[in-house]
Amino acid sequence: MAETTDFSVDESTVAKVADLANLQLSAAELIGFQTQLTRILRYAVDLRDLKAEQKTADQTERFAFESQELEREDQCLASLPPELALGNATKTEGTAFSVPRVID
Amino acid sequence: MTQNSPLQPYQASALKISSMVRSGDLAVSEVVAFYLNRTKQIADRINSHTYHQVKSVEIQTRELEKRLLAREHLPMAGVPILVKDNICTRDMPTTCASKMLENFRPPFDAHVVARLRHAGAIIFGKTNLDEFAMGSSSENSSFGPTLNPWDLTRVPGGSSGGSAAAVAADLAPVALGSDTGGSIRQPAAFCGIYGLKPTYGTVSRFGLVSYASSLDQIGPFARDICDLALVHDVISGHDPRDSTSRVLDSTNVCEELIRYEPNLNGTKIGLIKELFATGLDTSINAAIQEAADALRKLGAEIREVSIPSLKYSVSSYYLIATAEASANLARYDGIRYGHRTQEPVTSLKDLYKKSRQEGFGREVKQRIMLGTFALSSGYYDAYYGKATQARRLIAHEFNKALEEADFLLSPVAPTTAFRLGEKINDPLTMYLGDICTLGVNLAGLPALSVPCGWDKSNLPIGMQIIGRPLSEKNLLTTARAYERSVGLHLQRQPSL
Repeated sequence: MAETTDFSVDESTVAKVADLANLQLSAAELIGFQTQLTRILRYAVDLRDLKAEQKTADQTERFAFESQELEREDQCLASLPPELALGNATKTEGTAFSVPRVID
Repeated sequence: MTQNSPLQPYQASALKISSMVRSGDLAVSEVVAFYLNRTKQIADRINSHTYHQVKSVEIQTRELEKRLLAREHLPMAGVPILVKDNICTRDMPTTCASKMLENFRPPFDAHVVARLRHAGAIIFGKTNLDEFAMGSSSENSSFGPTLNPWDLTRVPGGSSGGSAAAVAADLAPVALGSDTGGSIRQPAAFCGIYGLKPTYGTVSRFGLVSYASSLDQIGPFARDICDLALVHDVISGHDPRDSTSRVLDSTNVCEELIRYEPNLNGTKIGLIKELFATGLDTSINAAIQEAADALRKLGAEIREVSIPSLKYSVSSYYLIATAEASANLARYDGIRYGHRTQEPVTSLKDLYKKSRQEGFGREVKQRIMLGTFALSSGYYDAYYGKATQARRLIAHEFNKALEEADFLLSPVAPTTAFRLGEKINDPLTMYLGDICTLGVNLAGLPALSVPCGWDKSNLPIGMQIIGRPLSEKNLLTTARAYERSVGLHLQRQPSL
């Protein structure tokens, strides 16, 4: 998609985003989302004020929202028994999920 | 029932119930009967629950009675607790208030639910929320909106509105919520109770249905600080199944709070200048200034601090959260998870699109759209990139402010509870109402919502106390000092 210059979205962009998001929107929804997304993105225009050098003075600074312990030893744990794992399946075959045949 | 039974509306605390059940002065069956009766009388009137079944409660009661006889260590013995319906429970549905998950029964308990059961709590039901925790009013629910017990024409806040409304109406002394951008603190403020958003990583997210993984955190609601601490003590701690979970020493803050004598000598509290700017309801401003005076009388030094980058918090939050949501919710496609369309389809993509169109509500679709847009080629740097840059700046300024002060103080929301339908068709206005709470999630800090007054319409007002990372104990102690000094939580109850 092309780089935006005015922080707004047109109808074709909304349709393209809906397709990327795997959403089949109605015509009314497309127009409604175009209006709302444009309003929200225009509000977000203030982010343009952030200059690259404002990334924070110290790039090594650690914050509470960042993961602290990323590495740990691998460990074998018990997994769900098949009957529990299949509990939410609409249809099953033996120990497998059964889904509709769809040929693209 | 014993003569000193706490089982009167608004009189029972989790701590008292647990203590009396352990000592044998109160039977679990009496506790259960009292709360089942209140649930029957009130839950439907405020639409606080998505699931409640007497049989499930009875099964848990019988199991608990055996454990009491075996003299197990049960810090929450017999305490009824409600759980937001985006937290997995092995014996109850977990719907996220969405048609997408209307038939989902998790095959496991969330880490927090397992910890609560282990501590002797009774999972009393699941509570209503904005679909997939996306909202600030609990109106975006496939079960219909939850109503505020203080005024049934108003929202309870969101997204954990069902939990907050239920605790405010005394349908349980405590409840769990999740907080991604204020979803515990804002409903707590709107409903006149306490709510804690813990430091990111202190409570396991295993079994919490993900909305925005770098922001989500589970926390408790209660009508007093000791009960809040009791639940937090139980649910916090390391869980290897959540890679962001921190290794922490176990805490018993609740016990310390019971013995605590209010004293804030030497404590520095900073009022966040930017959150007292125009747009703040005058009654909220007055209530918080009064609360600051009360804290000053307890020995605290009150000063002003500035976090200028908070002006970016709404933009930053709504781009980051929706970007993460668009990825997290991709799994609901009718094949891997969730509702599957029964309409004829021509391709796999067609099946995905129709299933998602039917399964998701409007606000969820809108956030998926916004997040997909922010991550898409050509827009990524201008939106998601800038939003993450703003996030680090906000976190940096919070850290600086918390070097100047031990705690920060602000409103929880610019208004008290608004009317049902007032903002539902104006998403941007709804988002702007989150201005006071979003920065805390972006920075990963702990924060408390504390009742501090009422407006002219008798609606509760909440103040937010923000602490340094992992400062929950000090945060709860400060709030306990205020609670004991002012005692607002005992003065009024909703008239249902």
